[in-house]
Amino acid sequence: MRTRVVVTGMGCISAAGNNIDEFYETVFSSKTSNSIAPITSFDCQNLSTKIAAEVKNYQASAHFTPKELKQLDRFAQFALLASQEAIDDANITFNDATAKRTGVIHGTSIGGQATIEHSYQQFHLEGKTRAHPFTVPKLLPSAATSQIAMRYGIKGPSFCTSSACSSSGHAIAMATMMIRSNMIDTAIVGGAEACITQGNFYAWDSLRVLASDTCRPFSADRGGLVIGEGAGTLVLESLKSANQRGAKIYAEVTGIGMSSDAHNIVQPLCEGAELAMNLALQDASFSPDEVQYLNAHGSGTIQNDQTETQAIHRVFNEYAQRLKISSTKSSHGHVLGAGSVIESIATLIALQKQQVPPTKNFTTIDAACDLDYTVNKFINTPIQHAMCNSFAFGGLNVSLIFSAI
Amino acid sequence: MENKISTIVDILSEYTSTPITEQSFQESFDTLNIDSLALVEIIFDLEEQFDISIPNESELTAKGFNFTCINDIVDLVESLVTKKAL
Repeated sequence: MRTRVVVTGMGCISAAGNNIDEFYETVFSSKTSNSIAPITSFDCQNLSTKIAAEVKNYQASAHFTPKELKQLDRFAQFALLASQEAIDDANITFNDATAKRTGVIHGTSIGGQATIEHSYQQFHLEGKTRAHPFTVPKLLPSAATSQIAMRYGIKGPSFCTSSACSSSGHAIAMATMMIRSNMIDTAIVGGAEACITQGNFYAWDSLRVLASDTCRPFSADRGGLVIGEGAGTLVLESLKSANQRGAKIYAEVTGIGMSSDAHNIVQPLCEGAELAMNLALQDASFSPDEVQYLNAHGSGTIQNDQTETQAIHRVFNEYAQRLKISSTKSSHGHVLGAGSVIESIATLIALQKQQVPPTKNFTTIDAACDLDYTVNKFINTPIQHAMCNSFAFGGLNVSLIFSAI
Repeated sequence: MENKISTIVDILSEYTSTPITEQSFQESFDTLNIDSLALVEIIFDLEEQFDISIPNESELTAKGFNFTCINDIVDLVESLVTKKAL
């Protein structure tokens, strides 16, 4: 029998709250939140997009010393805060032996974007001739992984996953496989992103996929996606390890499915999404009707929402109409490399509370999106198994299944 | 000169928990618990503070400068600042 993998700790920081409790209050409430709001971190006068899901009430100096901040881009700060909450939550400590049987796998789509832009601004605009020596170690996409490993003395296999909006989903999948294969017993997994910056929005603007008002997944009047920032971390460990230390268990990772569209660098393909969901079900040995809740990728672009709906129909067949679905991006925005883990956390809370979080900001039915998206109001319902989808630009797909234990 | 020394000591103090005394000026950076990474940061801070450009180690050696203790830093900064003023 294969090694069972469970979640024993959760931590997150996002526009929807700076910890798990705040995240639950925001994401599972039926009230409209102010998490998606006008951009405050830079002047967006010359850009079409003027909204984002920024982390609120955040002062880096409240969490890190000036010396630490020299080495920490904003994305790595978020990664460390989410990891601290998750590791505290799991009540886990590491000794020489367990540190070597633990890995850190933390994803990001971009990495230290603010550091890159700050450095380029100094060089190109301000005529400076020298960058701070920590510019390179700060901007590396793997910087957050290293910072987490250093802080907790974790010495097992550790690396960064980068697959755009599926980055942290791949991190969870990789860690699950590594625990199943007995390579490690415990993993600190997740993702972080902090790219609400002028240069990044300048680039995103040109893709014409960003919403101008808010994020309305599956709603006919959707305007596109809303970029968010933040981080999420899970502590994954073998069931044996969790039981041995008497850990509280949130859920089991029962299914992982990964696929590639091999189709287009931005347009999603139904078959790719369908394959990822089917592989996750197959990995879990579940029939589709055993899944009660699906946290959709639900980015709020017409291409994703309609393609994902079609893929859900193909995977779940007639049961699709009874499946509870929602996109929590309507609360926390599209957190890119951290999206999959933050949405996994929403899925795990759904299992814990037996509640489906709502797809907020929904106004108008789209004929091509004809499923139950749990619009605007959360519902209480029994959930034993729940799926979480992440479909990235370039067709890199991950579906995860979490099960109550 | 006094001001420069005091600024140099301020910069170095950020990177060592060892109190900087008169004797420290001849002690190796190792003795002051300043590692090579901290030294890279110190060089950056000195360049920023005095608006000078500190050459890399091989160039320094070729020009007859050492870079092993605080006295070396003081000599180097003094030389580079004077050169800039000329």
